[in-house]
Amino acid sequence: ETYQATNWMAPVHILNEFTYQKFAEDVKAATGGGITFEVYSNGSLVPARTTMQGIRDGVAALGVVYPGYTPSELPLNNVVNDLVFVSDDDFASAFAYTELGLTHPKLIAEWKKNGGIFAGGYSTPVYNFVCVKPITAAGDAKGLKIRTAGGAQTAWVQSLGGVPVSVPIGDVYSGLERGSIDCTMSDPTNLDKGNKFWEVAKSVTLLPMGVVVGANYVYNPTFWKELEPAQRRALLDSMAVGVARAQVAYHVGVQAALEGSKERGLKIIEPAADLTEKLAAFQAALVEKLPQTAVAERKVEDPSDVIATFLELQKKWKGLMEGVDRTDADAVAKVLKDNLYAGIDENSFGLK
Amino acid sequence: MRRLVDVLTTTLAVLSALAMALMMLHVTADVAGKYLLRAPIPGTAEVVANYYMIAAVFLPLAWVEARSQPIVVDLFYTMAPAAGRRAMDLLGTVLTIAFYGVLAWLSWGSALAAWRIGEIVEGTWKVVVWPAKFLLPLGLAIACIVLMPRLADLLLGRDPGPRTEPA
Amino acid sequence: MDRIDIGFIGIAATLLMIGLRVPIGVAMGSVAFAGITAMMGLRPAIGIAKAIPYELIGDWNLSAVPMFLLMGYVASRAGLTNGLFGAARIFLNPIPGGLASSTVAASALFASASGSSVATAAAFSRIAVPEMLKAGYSPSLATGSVAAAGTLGSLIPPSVLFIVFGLMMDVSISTLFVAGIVPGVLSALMFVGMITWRAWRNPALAPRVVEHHSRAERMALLRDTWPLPVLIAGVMGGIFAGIFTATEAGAVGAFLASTIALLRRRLSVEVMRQALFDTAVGTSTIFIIVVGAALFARFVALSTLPNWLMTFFDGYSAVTVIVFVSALYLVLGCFLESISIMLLTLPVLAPLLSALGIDLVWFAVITVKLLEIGLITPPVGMNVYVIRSSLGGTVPLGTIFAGAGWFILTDVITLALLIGFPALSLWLPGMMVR
Ligand code: NA
Ligand code: NA
Repeated sequence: ETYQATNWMAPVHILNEFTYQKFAEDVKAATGGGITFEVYSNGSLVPARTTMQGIRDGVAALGVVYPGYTPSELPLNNVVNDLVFVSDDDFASAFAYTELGLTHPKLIAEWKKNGGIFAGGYSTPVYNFVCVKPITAAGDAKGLKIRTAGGAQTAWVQSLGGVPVSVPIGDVYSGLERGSIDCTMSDPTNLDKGNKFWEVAKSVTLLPMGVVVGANYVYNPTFWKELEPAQRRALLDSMAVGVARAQVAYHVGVQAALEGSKERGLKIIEPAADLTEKLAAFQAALVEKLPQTAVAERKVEDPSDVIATFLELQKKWKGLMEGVDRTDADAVAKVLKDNLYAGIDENSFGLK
Repeated sequence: MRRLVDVLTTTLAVLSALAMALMMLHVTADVAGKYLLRAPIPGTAEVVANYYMIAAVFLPLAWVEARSQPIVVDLFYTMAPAAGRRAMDLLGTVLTIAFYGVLAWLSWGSALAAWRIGEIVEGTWKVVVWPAKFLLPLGLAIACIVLMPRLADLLLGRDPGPRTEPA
Repeated sequence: MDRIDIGFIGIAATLLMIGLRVPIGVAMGSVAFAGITAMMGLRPAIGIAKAIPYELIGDWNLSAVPMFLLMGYVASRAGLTNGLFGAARIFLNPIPGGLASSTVAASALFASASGSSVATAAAFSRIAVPEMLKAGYSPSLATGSVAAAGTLGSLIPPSVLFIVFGLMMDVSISTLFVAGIVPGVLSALMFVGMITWRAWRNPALAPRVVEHHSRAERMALLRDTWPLPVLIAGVMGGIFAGIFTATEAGAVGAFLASTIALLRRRLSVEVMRQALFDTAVGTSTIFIIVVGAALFARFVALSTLPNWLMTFFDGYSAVTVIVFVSALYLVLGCFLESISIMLLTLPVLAPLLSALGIDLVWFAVITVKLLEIGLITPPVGMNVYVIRSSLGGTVPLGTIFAGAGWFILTDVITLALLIGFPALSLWLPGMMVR
């Protein structure tokens, strides 16, 4: 049987190539052709912002959902995205977000309310400053125009005395080149891959300013329920591999991007102590205030329990990943399967 | 009816013309702010996309139907006899009403849903967007209303007359 | 029934409805809705119809269209474009067929303020045709040159066609604008060359006009026309240098055009009101088709037609495909208007183009050039119709088409050059700050 899967990224994007294109092949093989996903890329089936709605309406059986596109529909997921500004390990964040979404009743309920079943998440690599005018110490950012992607990033740049600027990702390159922006907050893979910031940027400041998380795999509930248990098992196992592959590809991408940037003569800057301290203070305040701001701005019930659980899970996954080769997709997939996906029961998960 | 149609179409078209003026001034001010003062106007892209563009496209629909002309291929129409022309007119009018009607109904549902959750978009800045969602059903529904007299004329075998060019 | 069959039926139904004078956006949108329902059921069809219109139109990049329309309307309604023909005349009158060549030159300049070819043709039919007829030019050359020169409107930036192409194919609009400059100028030069050659061979076509302009007259004409080219150069230069995005350039351009008009005491409340009205109505008319086409694109994708086409063209080279596409566009150009052709075909062609690794900027230039030729080919040639109606029917349709024939031949050569030498389109964008 053929089903539609929707992905708003290009086929070669990490979150499409490894989590959809290869995944579709895996699933087809594992189910003996019982489940064949037609992958629609570049949002050619439903636009990025309406992926959640498209899954709900059965336009696609499976899709990649970035909760930041629908902040009003997925407020609790967006609280988690506010929280991961404090993260410094993308594997731990991705797997913690995945476990949270698979097991925490509040998050399961939020996805269900929106007509979806969450079954796997991603985390971008840790964000850094990519700049034309280098930032080393806390005072350096004062007055600089810095492109941010919103949320805590905007508040953080303001707290440094910088000017947060909104620029579509496609215009960041020429913005850096022409000086309409001085810096962008970005994960290092944008230095090469597609955006090629390394052609115009002069420096990268390795200040770990959090990650951004999203859902790799969200299913239409009717689709999920109508599968045989063995097919659901096959999907769960393939997703463990898909989620792991995406993070490994990001990790390898970051190494290559930073290495290549250095060769091209970009300055790779270790942040000064005052900047690191300032960030730590900002992050501490963020975590402390997050429950209140979430209640006030995102209109959710007190999310303290979700926040605590996420931070705990993040710590747990950091521990589980210790000593694991982060460039070995099979090894990482095994950790993820043994410690999470194997425990998800194909006879009950997502059926209520 | 005729009078109501005039008032509705003109009001909506004036609103969208104002949106065009605001778009020009807002974006120019943002550019000037960015280069001259290092202070771009927060949320410009979001407001332009969600308010000015939506207003520009959906509010003048009624005007286009009443007074100007959507883009059509006239080739066979001009060659057809009078009865054929009337049939084509009828087909075009019915399908337009059906299409706009369905979109109006669906977008009304979306607008209500957006209003209930107080929908915002969240880029670098947060911008409230639910009010913009009501512009779609508004513009589409009034375009349908404007076409009703025309449909009645065609069904009753009367000549609906040409669409009047804007004064 | 297979999805591919529904796909073919849907395309046939769309063309039939368009032929029966159903508005093009409505035809594409309704077929898409019915077709998706037939393939996947009502719920997914509703899901797509609910999601597309707002998400599609609520896009920052799209706003380049109204802003460039506004710039063009302000410039022409405030009379900033009036002197162009007179100024071009001063320089080109001495060569054979000088008035026709002046039309081409002035149209090229006007095109750089206008995003649309039909608008360009309309503007010059009233100014240039009567002058040429008065000078004893053959009616077919007089009208043909205006019809053809009008087609420069969409090739020379700004251009609504490039904006729509860029949006549909995810290519930078700024890059497309810059890519259009050399082919646009080349087209104009080819026209001038052809006119000169024909008028030189057969002086009866275009009798020489003896004119004498005093220095004061020349200066007055130049004083009247210089702000527009300067404005355009500034706006395009801003895009070239990467200072403005396309939308920003459009807005700043419209603002500067208004300011210049105001300083020259040409901007009345009435002029501004009309320009804003025309912009809103024009934007709506174009984008309701884009909405229908976006639904249609989903229908086409789900129908697996693009895959079918890819299998069909498996093993053919890129040039073969381009030639095939050219033939297709020339045929469609006989019946349909430019934006609609693009919106109908690109969803089907896109996967094939990317599979063949065809440079989309180059392909965009070829597409726009083809669509421009379609504006002057019979039986439906928008530019020809516009000229006929603005001349009040004094010149028969056949005469105008006949006059356009020579220009079509010239354009075919230009097109062959553009296909044969991609550098003509790609060199300038390669120089710009991305
Ligand atoms: Na133009
Ligand atoms: Na034609």
